[in-house]
Amino acid sequence: MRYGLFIMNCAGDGVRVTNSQNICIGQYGCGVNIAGSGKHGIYILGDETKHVHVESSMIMDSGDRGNIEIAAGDDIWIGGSNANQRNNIEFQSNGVGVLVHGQNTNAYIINN
Amino acid sequence: MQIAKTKNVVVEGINSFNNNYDGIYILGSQNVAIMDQDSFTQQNHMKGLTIHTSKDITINNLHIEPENQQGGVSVFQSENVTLADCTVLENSGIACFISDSKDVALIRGNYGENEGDGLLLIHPAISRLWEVICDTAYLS
Repeated sequence: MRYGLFIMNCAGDGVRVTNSQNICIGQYGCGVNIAGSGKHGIYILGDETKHVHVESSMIMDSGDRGNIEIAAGDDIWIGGSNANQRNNIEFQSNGVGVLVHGQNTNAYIINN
Repeated sequence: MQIAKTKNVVVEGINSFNNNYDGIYILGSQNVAIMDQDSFTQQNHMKGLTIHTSKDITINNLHIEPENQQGGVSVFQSENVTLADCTVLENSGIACFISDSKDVALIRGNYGENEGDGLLLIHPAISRLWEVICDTAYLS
């Protein structure tokens, strides 16, 4: 059984981070459960975005935009070096699990 | 209900519904706590809860559901805001919108079945005074 913060079946993105700094989505082994989003599970964008950490979370069954899309930002971490920082990003038939793009995007996808 | 330009307020047991504006509006205030397992803000014509230019705000066990017409929660230009064990369900618009704020924590809770995004964080480039820190989801 999972506990914590649930963001389920919202019509837009589960979590959208735009031009924001120092965002922790899940921390200390305690994750966020995001499922059934109409668009992205997590959408990170904006050139001013930096220091975003997604860890210990479950992202699944997102819409056709995919589970996680990183379109811009600096120092974006998905997962981490410790076992309890690992995310559970469920494969789906629509979209992709994790999509990273953007000319100046600086992202680390580790140990998911 | 509106809490405006004041400090040291505790609210327990409120059901704010079918208002023309927000269910609960906290403006320019400091050290405000809303706590009670039976508190609701529902079917309001604007947001369920808005926190604007305020500091040290704690919201516990508030049920922001259903059918607030412009979304569940908005936090603007505020600092040290915690929402713990809240449910934000079945609202029109975004479940929780956080902009130009610092030290905002969402701890546990259910933000589901809303018609917009679940959680939207925006830090407009036009204002660099604030940073958003959103520590989410501690297991209990």
